[in-house]
Amino acid sequence: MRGEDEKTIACRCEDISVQEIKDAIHEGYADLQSLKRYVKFGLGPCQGKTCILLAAQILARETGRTLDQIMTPTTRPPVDPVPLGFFAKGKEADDEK
Amino acid sequence: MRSSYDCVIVGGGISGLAIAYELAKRGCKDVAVLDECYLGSGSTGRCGSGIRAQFTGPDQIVLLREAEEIWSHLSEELGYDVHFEACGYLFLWDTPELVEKAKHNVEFQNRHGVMSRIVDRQEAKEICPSLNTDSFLAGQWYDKDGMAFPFDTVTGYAQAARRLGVDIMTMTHVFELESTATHTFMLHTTQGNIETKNVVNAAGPGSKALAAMLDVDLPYRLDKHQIMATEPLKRFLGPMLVKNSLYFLQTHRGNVVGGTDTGDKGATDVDSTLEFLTKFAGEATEIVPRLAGVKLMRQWAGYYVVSPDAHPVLGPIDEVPGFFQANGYSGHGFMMGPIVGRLLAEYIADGKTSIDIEHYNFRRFARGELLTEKAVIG
Repeated sequence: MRGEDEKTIACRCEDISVQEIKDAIHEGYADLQSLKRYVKFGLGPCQGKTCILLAAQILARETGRTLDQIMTPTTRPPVDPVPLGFFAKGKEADDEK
Repeated sequence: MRSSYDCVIVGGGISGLAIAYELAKRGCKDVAVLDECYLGSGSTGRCGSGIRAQFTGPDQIVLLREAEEIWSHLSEELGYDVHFEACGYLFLWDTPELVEKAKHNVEFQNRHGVMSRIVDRQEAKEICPSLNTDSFLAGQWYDKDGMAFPFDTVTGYAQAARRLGVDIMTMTHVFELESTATHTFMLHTTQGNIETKNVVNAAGPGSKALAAMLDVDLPYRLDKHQIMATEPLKRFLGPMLVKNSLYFLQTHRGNVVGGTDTGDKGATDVDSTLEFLTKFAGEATEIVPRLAGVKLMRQWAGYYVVSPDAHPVLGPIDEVPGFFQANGYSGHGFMMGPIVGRLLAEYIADGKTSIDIEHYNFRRFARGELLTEKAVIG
């Protein structure tokens, strides 16, 4: 399994493999909040929409828990990345002074 | 977790973990750190990650000057990369009055060994090529200020403390704290009871409630401060930029991270608002126009634990021997963490400190001996 887990990407934004997540769990990062911040998955442009549940499943399996025993991180706004210029009143996104 | 320790530290943010590590380094290894959630889940993990010595009060200038010295070699000390980088802080001043004040601040900082200086618009542009030079009159620059990565710092301190024998327990909430007839403390936690001779209150936003359990009234107000992170970009920014309450930097991972004040004093939630984004985006794109095209990835918020004089409370409580404070940082807890860790550990282990912390004692509020600090950002 190890070879396969090394080749299987769990977090596409940050290029983190299933094996890296498993290694961190076995180092003792056994809650999803600490695991995410230690390994740094779920921090890219998709903000964990692809990988958080996958990581939660791996964590549940590796530690003999069920998914509802895993506390998932807070989902932060926005849902999708938005250019800052959109929020800056009266300024265009391509405004280069 | 055992049922008794020499010292129990409540709060697993940078303060609590740095104190634990420094205590263990001094041979005090019968130490436990408790956190009600995960390590760094309070103000440490929510902070803007900046580290500066450009303050206006002499006490904080000296404290942060020494903190920066520790930060500069902290990765080697802990055996873990905390990603400290002396990227410098560039304050931008946009009125003649502010520039005059800045000149006085610089003179004062220089006298205390912090060699900040005033830079004109052209030099500011050389330090930070993305700056819109129409947005300010002059800058104030110190190249030893910098940044570090909060979670990596937490991990570094926690791993180093554990290697020295410190017990660290997460998801352990203290719901009752009492002093006993035999001059010890009993902590009632969600994981069981612990007896200890010394308790350190490093509970950040929870420090007021913890102290209240021993009838100590810490005069704090919680202010909500919001912050955001953009998508990661190739490094382009350079220094931490500060203008009024606006600040932002670019981390080693490439994300621009920063915030601005939305005036949420006495807050009871850490919810994110659109009002913050609008204010931040307007202010940030004025000084660095190219940020308009950079995508916001997430926003969050945390608490500043604000004391009446914007300085922390450090050291013992006269009325409750064995109960030590490391809280009330008013927005500066992360940057101070390494020096607070060292000084509190010195005090608890030896009863004396290498830098005087007497004036940071809780008793200053009752005596009316408040300290002064004007440079609170964000």
